[in-house]
Amino acid sequence: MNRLMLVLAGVLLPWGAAANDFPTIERVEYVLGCARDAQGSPRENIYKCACVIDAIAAKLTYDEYVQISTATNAFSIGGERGEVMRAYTGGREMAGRYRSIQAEARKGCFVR
Amino acid sequence: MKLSLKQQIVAACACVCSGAALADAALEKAMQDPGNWAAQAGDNYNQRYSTLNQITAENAAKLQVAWTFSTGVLRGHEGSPLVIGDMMYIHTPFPNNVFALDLKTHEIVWKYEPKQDSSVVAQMCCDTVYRGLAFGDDKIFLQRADSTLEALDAKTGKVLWSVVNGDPKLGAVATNAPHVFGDKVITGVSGGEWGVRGHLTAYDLKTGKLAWRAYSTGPDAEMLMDPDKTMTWTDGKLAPVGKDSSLKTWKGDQWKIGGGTTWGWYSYDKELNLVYYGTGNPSTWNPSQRPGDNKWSMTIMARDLNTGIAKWVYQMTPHDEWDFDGVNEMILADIDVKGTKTKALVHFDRNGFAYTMDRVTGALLVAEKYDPVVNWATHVDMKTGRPQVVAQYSTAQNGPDVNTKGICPAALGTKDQQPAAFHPKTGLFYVPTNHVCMDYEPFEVEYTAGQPYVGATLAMYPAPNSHGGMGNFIAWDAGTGKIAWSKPERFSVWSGALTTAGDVIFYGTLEGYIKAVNLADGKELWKFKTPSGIIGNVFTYLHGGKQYVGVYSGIGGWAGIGMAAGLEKDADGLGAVGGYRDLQKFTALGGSLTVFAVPE
Repeated sequence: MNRLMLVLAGVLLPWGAAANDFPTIERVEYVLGCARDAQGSPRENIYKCACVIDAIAAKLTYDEYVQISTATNAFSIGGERGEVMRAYTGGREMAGRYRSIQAEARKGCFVR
Repeated sequence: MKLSLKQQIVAACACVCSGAALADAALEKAMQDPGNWAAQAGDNYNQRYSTLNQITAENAAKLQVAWTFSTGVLRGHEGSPLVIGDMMYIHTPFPNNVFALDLKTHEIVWKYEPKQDSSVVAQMCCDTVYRGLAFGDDKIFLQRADSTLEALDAKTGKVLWSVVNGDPKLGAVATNAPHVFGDKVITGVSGGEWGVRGHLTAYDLKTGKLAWRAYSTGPDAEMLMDPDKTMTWTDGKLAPVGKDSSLKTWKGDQWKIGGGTTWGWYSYDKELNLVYYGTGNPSTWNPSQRPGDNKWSMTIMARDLNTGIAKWVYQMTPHDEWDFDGVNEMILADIDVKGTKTKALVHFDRNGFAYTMDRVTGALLVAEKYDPVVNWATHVDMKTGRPQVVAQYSTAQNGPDVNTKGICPAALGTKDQQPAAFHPKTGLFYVPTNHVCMDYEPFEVEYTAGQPYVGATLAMYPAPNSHGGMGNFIAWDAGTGKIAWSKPERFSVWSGALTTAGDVIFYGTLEGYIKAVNLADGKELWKFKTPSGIIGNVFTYLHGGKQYVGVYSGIGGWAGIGMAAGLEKDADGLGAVGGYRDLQKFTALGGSLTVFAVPE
């Protein structure tokens, strides 16, 4: 659908410096999800996944994180609602940014 | 329907003469207690208003998680649980599991897992959502995705009766909540994208026997239309629809695959004994293939509960060119409309117009844009009731294989099914909206039974030259057709709103926030980030003298890559007998219900 896209400066905000302002609850949720999906022993995964979310929190403000992780997750919604994000250039940019930050963090934290 | 129209009318008269519909005592009693949440909207008027007032603008900021429940099912979680006395009834998306919880212990009293053919999933256009259960006659009504409607014993979960409402192999699936009105349970069908011919069907609460079925398109007799008595807004007044009002607006027998499905929220006025609902888009999405007004797709319907005969109808979007389904909720409220106290029906359509109708007669009173960016029509002509389409944004006038750009709103509409709420104190409506526009390119498709019948390619983006976000949460004056206040949201608001006598409004967001905002100005009082995006509806109840507010979260494969595999792995462990308690292990998985309260 690329050819149809109208590229717009939309919801994207200028990326500010990270404020290391992630709430505890968000870090715990991330570690639980990450540890569940990662290979290796549960304890090993807790170390590695905590490392990942700390690395992400060093790169993004919490608000930026919520925005781009929401856009990324929305790609997995079935039907029209997911299509709103999949067929939106700004949405794809947000997802691309989130995935690359996360991939870099995972690599730096030895997540398998 | 095998009866001739004449027979229908005779039957109708017989029922009407015998008095109004019998109300269901169990549901009436449950609804009278404000501590319950006995229907999906809390009442039959779709107001989504609770008289509970312990949570207020002053203390909402102190709300904390009181308890949670994981459904163990992935994908979108729409609707809300029901609360009747000490029991809470929870539903899930496909496979449409039902849990009855004891509110004293939060333990599962019974669980029902319907056996459905998984091939149904491939027949569902827009995720495997299910909007919830209904209660009446001490039964819980489950509308399964495969179109089977079941009545479960509210105490035990035992199946008491079961009827097949449509053929899923032809794309007739279900996502709607059934509704209990009077002595009937009413349900609809989805599948407009499969060329399903929509209908609303009423079954006897006690036996499941078919009471009536009213198609959205076709011959008068099958539509339960009376050419002389069914009224519609015509030339500035109400006039009979006349003979073959649907057939005349379709080419040949296209009405047979004409859509007009019925997957929204219905409402009921007991005094008038009328059921209100909307019909969906005509099939296909390529308008050039189906010339004519395509009646009665995209229509607000008012039908007699006893007979199903239409009292009045109003088509909002004749000859749809944008997929602006008319199924969104019909809210009944007695409000001031341009200086006159009115028994109104208020409807926020996907097409971006909010309609205020006289719900007794069907007169069109107000039709105004509830998002200023709506551009496909300049206005609704109040005399003809027709939207004045702008040629530039007409996918029919531009034709197939032409990309019509910059149409506002996008196909999902200025609002989709996520229901708005009404507050009697302000007389205003609180509406979760989308703020998204689209490019739309229709193309030729051929109808094949049981296959998608769409025929358009879309691109979408936030409304240009606005705040950059994809949604708003607004307060709307349906008496004047004006926005009272508007709160920008970064993403479309796909969660249903709740208003309370504590003067707090609640709704959820795609980020997963449940928010409490101030009734007067929409100012944010509190927010909490649940584990997933919210497309469910916020609800409230009282237990042990304390007010709780809750919402489902869960959408898509939310927690990311490996999620589905992870769930299967865990599910293996859960297969063991007596594994209910182990559902607690699912806390990080699937959809969840999060319930909040203000600590002592």
